[in-house]
Order: sequence, then structure tokens, then C-alpha cells
Amino acid sequence: MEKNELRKKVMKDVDEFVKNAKKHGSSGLKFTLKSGEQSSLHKMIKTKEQAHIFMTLLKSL
Amino acid sequence: MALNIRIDIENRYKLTYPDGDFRYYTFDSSLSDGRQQLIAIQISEEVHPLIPDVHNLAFGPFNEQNEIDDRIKLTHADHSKVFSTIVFASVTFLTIHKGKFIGIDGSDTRRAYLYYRCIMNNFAYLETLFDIYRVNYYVRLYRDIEYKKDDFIIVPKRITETDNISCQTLYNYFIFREKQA
Repeated sequence: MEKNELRKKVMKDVDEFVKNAKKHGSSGLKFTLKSGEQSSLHKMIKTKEQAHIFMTLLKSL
Repeated sequence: MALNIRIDIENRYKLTYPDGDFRYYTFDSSLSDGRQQLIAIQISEEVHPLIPDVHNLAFGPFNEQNEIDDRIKLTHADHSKVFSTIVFASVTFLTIHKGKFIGIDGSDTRRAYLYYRCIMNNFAYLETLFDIYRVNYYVRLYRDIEYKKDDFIIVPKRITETDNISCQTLYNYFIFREKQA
């Protein structure tokens, strides 16, 4: 399938799912992680400078 | 297993209706021994205060306390269907939460390398839906002292279709964003 067609097909499915979910209302699902661990990224970023450099780079890519 | 995973949204498990914020989902996966296993997907509410736009994704079976065990090894009958379902939930979240990013660690190196190989083997498909990034952590070296504890530089880069690294030099973290025009 051509890329644009594929994306359109997927987004149509997503839009349908979102529409039905909003109509249904929140299921109230909520989970936590058994390990309770933060992601490695959370552990690495400790200063505003680190976060600023990281997010600036990420959003520019 | 990673070589055999084919992402295809058309081949996904039915997701339950999520919470109101589209962060929590469940689906029934068939295991290779014929049992059904309820799997939970969580796209974290809790974010780092300095990087509030990046949300961690985790998935796995859950217990009576609604805790996801993301370290357990399950033998699914159809891994492609499992991962396609998770991709669908991710696309849904990013569609609702514009401008946000989803990140994934892999709870151990084996799992992280599985995710990497899955991304690369399905790159053409996934890049129609996401911009995909890899993140490396580096230690800053100073001139007068070798390095300071906890002084890391975190560098993201786009993953491209020609990306190819070994397990030993695997990236530290993967990030997905809704495909930008």
C-alpha cells in the first residue's frame, strides 16, 4: 500500500476508535508499574540545562 | 522473534475503551499454550517536571492491584498482533495529545534490542505514522577534572532506515512523535 494511503487508513481507524471511546465515556482504567521504576530518561535529566538542551534538540529534529 | 514481527494495524487485538485521557488500555492476547492473557498498556501520567512533554510507555500483564508487570516474559501466539495493538494505542494517544512524545526503555537490554530490531524491520510502515528518535547518554569530560558525577548530556537523533547497530552499542531510549508533515 502506498504510504499516504496507509496513513489515511490508519488514521481513519484511529478516528473511529476515538469517536466510539468518547461516546462510551471513560472506562476508568488506571495502572501503575509493579517495578515502580522511572524511565532511564527521567533518571538522567536532573538540571534545567540538560532538559533545555535535550528538548531543544528533540524538537528541532 | 524480532525478525518475525510485522506491524500491521489491520492485524491487531480489540482494545477496550480507554480512560478519559487515552492513556490506559487493555486487550486480550492469545498465548502460545492456548490461554488468554489480559495485557495492559500504560502511557504515563507522571512526567518529569523538566520534560513534561515526554510520556513513558509500558505494557504487560497486570495483577489484582492493577500493577503492570513489564518484566515478565510471555510467549504470545502472535507477537505481531500484540505489537500492532500497542502501536495503535500509541498513535491514538499522540493524535489526542498533540505535541507530545512517547518514550520506551525496554526493561532490560534484551527487550530493548527486540524493540530496536522491531522498529528497523518495520521502519517503512512505522515512519508513515511516527517520527522516531533514539537517545544516547554521554558523560561530559572537563578540562581540569575527569568528569563530574551525574553530569550527563542527553542527545536525541532521528532514526533513519539505514540505522544499524549492535546490541552492545544499543541506544539508551527510544522516542516517538506523531508524524510531522
